[in-house]
Amino acid sequence: MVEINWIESFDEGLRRAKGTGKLVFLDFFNPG
Amino acid sequence: MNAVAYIDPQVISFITENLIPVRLMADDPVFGPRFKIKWTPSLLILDSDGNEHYRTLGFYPPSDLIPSLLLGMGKTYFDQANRPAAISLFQRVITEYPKNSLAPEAVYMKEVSNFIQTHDPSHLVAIYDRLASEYPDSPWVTRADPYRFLKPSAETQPGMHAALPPEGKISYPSQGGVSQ
Repeated sequence: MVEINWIESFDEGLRRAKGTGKLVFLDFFNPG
Repeated sequence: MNAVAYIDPQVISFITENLIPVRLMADDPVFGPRFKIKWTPSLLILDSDGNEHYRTLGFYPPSDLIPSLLLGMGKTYFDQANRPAAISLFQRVITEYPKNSLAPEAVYMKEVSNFIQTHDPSHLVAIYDRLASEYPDSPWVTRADPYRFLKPSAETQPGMHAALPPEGKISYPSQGGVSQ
């Protein structure tokens, strides 16, 4: 099954955003 | 969000193709306080420097999440003065999701972007005209109400408009619903 490939590191997200020119979609969640 | 929106194939495809998806716990000791997270889900659009440009709260069905993300992306490019990119994204909300509750805001933002780019006040008049005709029950009609006075009247000479807002002084509502 295809899923969203979530990144769990803020800094890694920014690094990838800079590398791709994309914006960041940041989801704060509560697993409980 | 996991149970509904994030398993939808269109949502997965949209996020994968257009955004870098980052997920953090709401009680993250660094980024929870930094972004003043008080409720979940909190969904933010950031630029590549980590600056927030758009935030919304609550659970979204798949049909509402994509237009919300498009609007947030458009607002980010609007803030960055990338008007063509912003206009393109606002237009996608209007064209692809015309019945969505965010479409009136996209109309407003698109024409404001066009006005800033061209200085042509007809874009501001178009905000009011389009919202009043297509979304008469939207609160955005009220927010655009002053622009109807920019219409050239029979007594006004061609090319003259009343009470034109100075460039850079146009205010638009920020995303509401976030407790600080």
